[in-house]
Amino acid sequence: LSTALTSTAARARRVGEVRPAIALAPLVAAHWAVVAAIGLTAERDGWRFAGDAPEWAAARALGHLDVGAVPAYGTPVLLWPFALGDALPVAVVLQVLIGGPLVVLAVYGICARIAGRLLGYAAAFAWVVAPLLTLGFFYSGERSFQGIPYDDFRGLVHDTVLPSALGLVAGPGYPSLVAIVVAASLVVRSLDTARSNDILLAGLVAGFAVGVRPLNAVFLPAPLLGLVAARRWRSALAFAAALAPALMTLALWRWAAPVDAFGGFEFRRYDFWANRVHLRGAGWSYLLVLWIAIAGCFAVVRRAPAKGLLVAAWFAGFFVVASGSLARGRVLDGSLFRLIEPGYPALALLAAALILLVPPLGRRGPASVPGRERVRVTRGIVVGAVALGAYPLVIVVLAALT
Amino acid sequence: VSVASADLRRRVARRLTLEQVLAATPLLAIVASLAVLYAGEAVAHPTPTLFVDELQWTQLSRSVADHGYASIRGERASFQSLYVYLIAPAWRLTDTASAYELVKYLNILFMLSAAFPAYFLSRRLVSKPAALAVAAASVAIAPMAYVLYVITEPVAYPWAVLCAWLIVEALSLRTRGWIVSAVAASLMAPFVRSQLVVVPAAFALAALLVWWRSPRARRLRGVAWTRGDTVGLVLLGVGAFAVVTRLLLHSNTQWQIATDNAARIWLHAVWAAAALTIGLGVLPVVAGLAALVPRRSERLLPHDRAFIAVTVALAALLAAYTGLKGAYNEVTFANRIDERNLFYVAPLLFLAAAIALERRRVRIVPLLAAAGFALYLIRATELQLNYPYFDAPGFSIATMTNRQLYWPPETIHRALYVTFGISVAIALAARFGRGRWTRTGLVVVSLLVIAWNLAGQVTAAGGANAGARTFERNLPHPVDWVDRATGGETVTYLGQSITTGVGLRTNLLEFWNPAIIKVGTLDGSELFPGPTLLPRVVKADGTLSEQPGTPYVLADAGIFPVGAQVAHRGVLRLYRVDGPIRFRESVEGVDEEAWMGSSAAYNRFALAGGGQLVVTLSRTAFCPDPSVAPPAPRVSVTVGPLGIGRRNGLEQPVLGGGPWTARTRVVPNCERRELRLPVEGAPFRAEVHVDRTFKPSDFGFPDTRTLGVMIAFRVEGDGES
Repeated sequence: LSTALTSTAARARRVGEVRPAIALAPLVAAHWAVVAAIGLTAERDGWRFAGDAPEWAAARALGHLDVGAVPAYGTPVLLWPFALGDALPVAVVLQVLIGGPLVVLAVYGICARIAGRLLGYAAAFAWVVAPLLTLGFFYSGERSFQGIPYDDFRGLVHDTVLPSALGLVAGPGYPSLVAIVVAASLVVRSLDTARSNDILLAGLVAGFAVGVRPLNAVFLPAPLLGLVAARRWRSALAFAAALAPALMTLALWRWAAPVDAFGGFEFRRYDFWANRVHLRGAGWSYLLVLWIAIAGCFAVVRRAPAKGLLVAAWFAGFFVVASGSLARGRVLDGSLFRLIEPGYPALALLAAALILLVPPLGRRGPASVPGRERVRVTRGIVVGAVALGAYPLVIVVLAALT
Repeated sequence: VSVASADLRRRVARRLTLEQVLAATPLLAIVASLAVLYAGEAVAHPTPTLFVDELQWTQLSRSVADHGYASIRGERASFQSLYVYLIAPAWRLTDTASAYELVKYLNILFMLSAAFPAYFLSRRLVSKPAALAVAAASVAIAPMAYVLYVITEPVAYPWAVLCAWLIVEALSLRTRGWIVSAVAASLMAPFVRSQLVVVPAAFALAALLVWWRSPRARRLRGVAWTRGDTVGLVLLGVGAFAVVTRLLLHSNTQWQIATDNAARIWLHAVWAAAALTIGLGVLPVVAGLAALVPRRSERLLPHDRAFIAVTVALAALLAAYTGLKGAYNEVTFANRIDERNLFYVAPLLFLAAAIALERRRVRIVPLLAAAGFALYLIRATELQLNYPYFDAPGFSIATMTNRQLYWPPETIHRALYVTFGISVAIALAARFGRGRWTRTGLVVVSLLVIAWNLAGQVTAAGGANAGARTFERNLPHPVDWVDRATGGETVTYLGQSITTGVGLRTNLLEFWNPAIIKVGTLDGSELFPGPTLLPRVVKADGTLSEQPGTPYVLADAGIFPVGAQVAHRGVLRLYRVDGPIRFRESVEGVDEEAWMGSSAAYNRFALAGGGQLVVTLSRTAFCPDPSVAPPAPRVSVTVGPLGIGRRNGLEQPVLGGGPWTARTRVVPNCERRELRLPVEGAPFRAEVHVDRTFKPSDFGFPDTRTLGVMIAFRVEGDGES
């Protein structure tokens, strides 16, 4: 046993020494392959998948400087050029080609900064295979649980949930997911480097995520919690300040929108319980999911408290807070899964972090004590501020005035 | 010299024996006193009341006594419990009443024997007076009322305590003798009561916990090992449990039903723990749980470590079992508080409390945690004041205050909070108090705890006896009238429309009359606990499809076999039948109170010549206020020749050919009507339909049956003499 453990540890060390570019390139390719497989086998009408969102019509309207009946500006702002040109395939392909690698890299980055490259690779791998594991997790065929009928839940997940979560649907789900995982990775990086630019950029990206879907605000306590836990008070303030442009734009959009389509942040214990019961009936083991969540949170918080708290709060924001309203989203019809999409990477991170439960892998790592750094006007921060702050604001102002 | 030394040795040996006898006297005196008390309770318990459990264990053990193997209603049964074989000799006595008395006395002996392992275990950890107190309390708990029932608990309880003692010895002394004894007793435990499968599991878990704290395990873990590593490892274990149980028990219906109701598992464990806490007197739980965390400076003996490990393991596993069983029962049977599955841990809690109070093992933070838990238990559980509440006798002390002092539940709850406060104060006093008064105080506290438990036990037994007396009053006397009438020859009971009341009455008949070896129902109703014959009339002369082969038939309401009636009690009639069982007449769809639902039928298989079928229809037993009364039903009766045809997929009596006549009559509420229909010679059949039924529960009554009218059939005319 000792020999086996030693050789396993040595092998793991060797994997950890592999350069990120070499390890992540095949993972990105594998991710695209999984997306292609899901895309080709899911029920669809050309490039339109089931569960297509109304944002495409709103994007077309925004192309004509008209505010559509959607709760937020983010998706129309992103998609209006494609909608005007009726170029849905281009939008989808770009989402997958740009968003896919971004998510894989961000997931890797977060975990690598929590517990090293090896865990980063494990997390990136978990994200790549997650769609396949998800399909295996849910039951196919007809069944009943506590009197609730289920009709091929795996089919529902395959045809509606996964295409949206993998960027095959031109809606708010995937941009939300990408924005939030990128924001989280920037905050985690800033916890190590104390680069103020990272925090500002993270705030802009997180703000844009709220602009894409207001419910994504459930993510905002996570970075703040991480920063407070690390006693980065200034960074926390900077992050909050960077949210301002997006929140202003969102307020303007909602003022100008013909209807208020936002469902609110309501949380009902009964609704949360009902969604949990429905999930129990739909999947192989609810206890397993619960265990991944609790054990994973323990593992990451123990290893790197501030970053771990960020991941735990990120997960809880979507899987607990956002799941607490049947009017907003239900497990039974799959509508809830689209709302909690941005929390999926957190679940993958927690699943990968289970490795840290094996002693002594999970012991606390050395705390980085970086020096303070002022905000520097770099090309990155300027592009970020323009693209995520000014550009949407201008478009929405024009549309609102028109 | 050798003669002198031999003489000395003899004298020393004699003195030791005398000392040992004298030393054992207090414990034996306690056991004997309680035996007298419990025997008095047993005498006042005239009949079994817990069905089907008591009939099941009786049938199994009686069959072992009769022919050496276990069976129920004549069919061999798989092994259930050693208890069956322990009480089997009692049934060799000639009459059922004497055998039943003896079984109860055996139960008392079995259950009281728990005092000995409790005492031996306690002596390892506390002083002799404290050990005596633990032993006395262990056999004074409210669940000791189970001695009054023919169930496995009276053997399972001492066996569980014996196992706990042996396991503690094995884990602390680690000699071959103790280890072999502990392993053997633990492996035997599930054969005493299947629930005790938790005992070997607890043994394994306790061994792991003891090993984990051992120097060898510490060396293996290394100096850098942290609590976080331990938590991580435990979490990995939980994950493995989640996956393994899902894989292995995926198709296990019982596991699925219990775990589907996951939130209820916790609640059932909490409720049972609350009943136990209240029954034990709160203090043993508060102080006992606190004592499971030793003081920092305390030098622990191997027995201390083993005891803590065994208590933690057994309590956790019993609680898990209780939760799972409660959640399962809630879906399949009834929602009850199952302290019955948890009370085995009581002696360990008493001992832990004794350690806390005598050895001052009360740390503040653990005490606060234990007190918080006890408070949560009291708050989270609704008091059950049934007299008795069989599955949770711990509530009996609350019932006592309700019945004797007329305290409403709110007052009882307040009293429990006061008890809780006093318990915490006692624990703190034991921790910080000094001097002779403290010791005196501890003696008083011990006596109060024992008195509290005994009061609960007496109340629980009193409730059980009150129920038994009610049953006994309503039984036909003598209770073994069937056995007496047949002279011990075998009997088959035949009934139909088995309601809860009929099932209970039949179970009691079977218990008191071993001559009833088979039971059957004509409408497919099941009569637990064993196989039920389901005969049908398959010939127009009334011959049944299944012939049990007994010379006697005990016929229930609506069933009239061909034969000589030899005895009767109420609607029950005992017939001597010659040859195959054949019916003279039978009624379908009418219960023992003569109520029919939406349809009923009358079959006449033997009648010389024609006459009149008189059908009496009545709602005189249903007189609701006219403002809310349901409309009067129309009752239609059709008579015609009886044939055998397919009904509900089975060969049964049907109306064969065209009907002779049909009549309809409206039967108003609170009134009675009669229909007369001419009939030809037998066989013939009358079918009755009611167009409007009602539920008494819709009119403020507790009865939830769906009822039409009360109905009776009789034939008047040429053929009926």
